[in-house]
Amino acid sequence: MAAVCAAFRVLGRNIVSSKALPAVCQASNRKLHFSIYGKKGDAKVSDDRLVALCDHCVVGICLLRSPLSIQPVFNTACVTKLFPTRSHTVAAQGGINAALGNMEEDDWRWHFYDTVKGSDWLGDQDAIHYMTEQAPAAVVELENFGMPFSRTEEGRIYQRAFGGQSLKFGKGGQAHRCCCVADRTGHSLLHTLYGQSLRYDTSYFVEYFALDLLMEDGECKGVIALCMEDGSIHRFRSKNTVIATGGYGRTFFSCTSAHTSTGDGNAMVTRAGLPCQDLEFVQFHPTGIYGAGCLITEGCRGEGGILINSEGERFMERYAPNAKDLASRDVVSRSMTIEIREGRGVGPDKDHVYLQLHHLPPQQLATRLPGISETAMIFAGVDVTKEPIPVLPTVHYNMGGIPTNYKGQAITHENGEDMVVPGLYACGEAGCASVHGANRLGANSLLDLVVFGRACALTIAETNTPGEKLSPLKPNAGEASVGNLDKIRFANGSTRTSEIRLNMQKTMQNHAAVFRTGDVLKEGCEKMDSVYKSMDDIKTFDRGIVWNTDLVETLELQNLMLNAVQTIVSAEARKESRGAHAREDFKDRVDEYDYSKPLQGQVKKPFEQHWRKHTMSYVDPKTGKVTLEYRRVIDSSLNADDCAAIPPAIRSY
Amino acid sequence: MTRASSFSIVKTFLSCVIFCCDNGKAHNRLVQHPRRMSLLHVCCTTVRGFVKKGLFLESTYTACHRTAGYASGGVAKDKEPLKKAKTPQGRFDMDETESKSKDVFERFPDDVNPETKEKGGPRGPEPTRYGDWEKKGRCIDF
Repeated sequence: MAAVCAAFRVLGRNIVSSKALPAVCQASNRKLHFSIYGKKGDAKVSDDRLVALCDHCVVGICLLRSPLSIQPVFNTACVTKLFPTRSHTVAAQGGINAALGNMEEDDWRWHFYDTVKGSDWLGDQDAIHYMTEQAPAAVVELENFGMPFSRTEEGRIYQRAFGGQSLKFGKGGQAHRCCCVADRTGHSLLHTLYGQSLRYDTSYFVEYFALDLLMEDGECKGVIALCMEDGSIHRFRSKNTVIATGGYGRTFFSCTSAHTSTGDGNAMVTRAGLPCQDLEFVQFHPTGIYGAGCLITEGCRGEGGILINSEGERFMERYAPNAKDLASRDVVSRSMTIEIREGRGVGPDKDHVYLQLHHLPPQQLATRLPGISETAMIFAGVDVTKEPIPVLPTVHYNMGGIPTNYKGQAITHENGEDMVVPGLYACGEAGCASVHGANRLGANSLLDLVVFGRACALTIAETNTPGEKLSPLKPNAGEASVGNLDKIRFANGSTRTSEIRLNMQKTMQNHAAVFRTGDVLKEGCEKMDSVYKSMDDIKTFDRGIVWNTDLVETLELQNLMLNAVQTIVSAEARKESRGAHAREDFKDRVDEYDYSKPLQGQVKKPFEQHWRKHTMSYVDPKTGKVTLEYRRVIDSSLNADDCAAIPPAIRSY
Repeated sequence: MTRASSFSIVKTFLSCVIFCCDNGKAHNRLVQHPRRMSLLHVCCTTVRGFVKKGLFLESTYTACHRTAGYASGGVAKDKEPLKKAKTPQGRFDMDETESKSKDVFERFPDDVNPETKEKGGPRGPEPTRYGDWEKKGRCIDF
């Protein structure tokens, strides 16, 4: 959402008008959307529209900059299944990285280096160049919009050390780049941008569930959406569509994301026959509270907390004899998963382990980790001074998504070339530009949102003029979506939505989580295939059209399924370990050269034989069959004189 | 009069009120008819009166019961405050000084962190001290 708001800003006054052409619609003539300025919102206005889809809006899109406000304005509609300020961005409490240089001398090229290294050289360096170069300007712009960053004594934005940021290309020590707003940066960002976007004449279509993209001849001509309030179906015709629907954490049993993180954008793009990129890269955190999904800080283990299995054994001693519980996150996650797989998990399903803190003096806990007893009581229902906290590896972020170029335009890959999909853009967690590559650095995702949301808007502004006529749309566009909707609404199989969803989540958690090996993944692919097929037998109970949440949950489940099958099949196919995708049977990175040795004398591996490439996955929605292709990583920055590209090397911290 | 019977009277009155309202007239039209409005008003006040009376009777009844208990116990203790349910009203009577606030909520003077001199920053200990962004034991970002 933040990204969407940013786009609106740049496009200036966004008049949104939706052409309500419901194919199956109730005879209500009620105005179903609200317009800030109380416009009539009649469907006849057919100026070009930017329809921004946002299920999850992460703060991202910059609002319109004032110099641009005098420029011609575009009609814009924001179609969202949640109220804009309820998007999951609001939960992002960390900071934003930007090389402002307020605490020490800093250079965005060092930030560029850190991000490229963090992505394990799977990130597209032109997009990373664009993001890190624009970062200071973006943060200053946000601050000018009224976002209350914390300040130093001199009044400049206070920056702190965080997330693998270094100075002088890794050689100058820790960099202080993370700007924040007390402890609610994402919340503040979302509200700032939303507030700014209200200055413009954007029409918000809140609680409209976007069903599908309207594609014609490979061009995106709009969106078809279901109004949840009264069940009417609306087709939004637009010249440009921006997707900012967030991630798909809910495919896994344990995740930190909201229940609404269902990867709707990725699924819409998949159903349109376009690829999704790098979906196998999912970022996990070892200690997430079982059931609730909140993460417990590593500081717990740092202060002496230990992980124990069903036998009461401190199992980390076996996996990491020296570091024990202070081993790196991926080692801890994998150890936990192996213990659970081998049957030493705790609980009735034996599917998690315990984090024990009650052996530490309560005073120490209260002084070093204030608030943890409250957290444990609220989310886990345990008294941390008496009982251990149930934890398991938890999904936090999806690095993959809809492939875009550095301008935010969605791309597809044909005959070895990247082709822009006209009329379609993506940004935020839903898009994959790709700046995070195989692993995301902390505090970079909010930056990603802001910069690429703005980039989408700038690209749209420079390639379009307001008042352009829309190309005609076939009268039966969106029929398939409506057919699907009807089918689900009257589904009368034997399995409930919630059961199928739980099956999928458990399968993904057991087979496609942190611990990945060939057999486990293959078994997972087969199980996911059968879960996908069980969708044919789904049963829904609510036959109404007004606020039919059963219907919406089933649509979300369809979207989750498409994401899940692509994730697990891509993971099974990728036979290496890179960033967040770590396999036990292929522990090393497989690049075109072996970068741990001198390059001289090495033969470059052909494209088919190495893995430093993006996965592009397609799904046939009827059968659930996934096809994979691969695309080159972009290794050159936007301007070699300005910022030299970083050649691949072994990643070690 | 027992509570049950007082409520049945209330119910009867309410049904009268509804009957008046439902006389084929919409609510706004009811407002436009002062006479009907006053009838509604009268009904409501009567109903309220009955309800209050019912409750009053109820509390008297309970009080008698309680005193009887104490008398039989022997020593008359100081009346302890009744434990009220955690209704919104009950909460107002709770001791304000209890609970709340742990260190994390304590504001710095002038909102300036004395060690780092950060103004408007996160309260409590430095969130990034363990390498991830920590708040109240939760990891927010890493």
